[in-house]
Amino acid sequence: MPRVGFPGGPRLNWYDRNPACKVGVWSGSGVAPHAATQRLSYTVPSGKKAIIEVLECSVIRKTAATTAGVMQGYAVLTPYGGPPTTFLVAWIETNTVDARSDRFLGGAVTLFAGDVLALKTLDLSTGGTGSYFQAYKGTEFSA
Amino acid sequence: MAKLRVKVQAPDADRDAYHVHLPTYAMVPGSWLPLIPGKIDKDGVLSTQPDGKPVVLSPAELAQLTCEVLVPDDECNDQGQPDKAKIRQKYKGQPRWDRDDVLTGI
Repeated sequence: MPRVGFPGGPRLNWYDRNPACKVGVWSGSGVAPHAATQRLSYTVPSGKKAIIEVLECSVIRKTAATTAGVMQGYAVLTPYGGPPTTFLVAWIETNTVDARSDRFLGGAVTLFAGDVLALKTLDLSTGGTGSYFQAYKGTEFSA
Repeated sequence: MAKLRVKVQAPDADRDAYHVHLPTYAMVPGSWLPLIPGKIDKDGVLSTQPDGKPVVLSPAELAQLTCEVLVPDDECNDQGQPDKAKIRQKYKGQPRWDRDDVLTGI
C-alpha cells in the first residue's frame, strides 16, 4: 500500500529543529559623540535559519551638545550576497536633555544562512552625551 | 560567551562603521583603548573635535585601536580565543568567513 504524506514522517516545526536562543545587547550611558560604530553583529551560520523575535533601538540625549547633530541607534540587515539596508532607526536631532527615540520590532524578521543583522550607533554632535540601548532576541534553527 | 580584546577595524567598502572583523559579537561598553583626548573615547572614535572639525585617526592610532567583545563559545578554542577551524566550519561556504585568512589582523 503506498504511503501518503511526507517520506519518513512529517517535518518538525521550526522551533523543534535544534533551536537555540540568540541574544545580543549593547547598552551605553554617557557616550560622547562618535562616528558610526557597529555594536552588535549576528551572522546566521550555514545550514541554519533564524527568526528575530525582538529588536530594539533606543537613544536618549543625556547632556546638551555645543552644536547638536543627529544621534541614531539603528539596525542594518545585510542579506547574503546583497547590499546592507537600514530598516529600523531611533533618531534624535534636537538638543533637549532627555529627548528620546525608541523603536521596537517584534516577531517579523526571518534571516537565512549568511544574512547579517548589525546594530549600530552614531552621534554627529559636538559635545554633549547620550545613552543608548540596543538589543535583539532570536531563535536559530536547522534550515 | 568568551570575552576577549580585539582590534577595531575602520569603516571600509563593505561596512560603513567602525566594527570588529568577527561574524557574531557584542561590544563591551566602555572598553575602547587607547583613550586619546579629543579622538578616542571609552565607547568609540569621536565624531568631531571640540572645534567642530572631524576626527581623523593616523594609521598608527588606528592600528592600536581595540575594544572588548563577547563572542559565542562555539567559535572559540579552549583558551577562549577565536578558532579559525570552528569559524570556517560554522560558516562553511560563506565567502567572508570560510577562508584561510579569516582571523588575520584581529
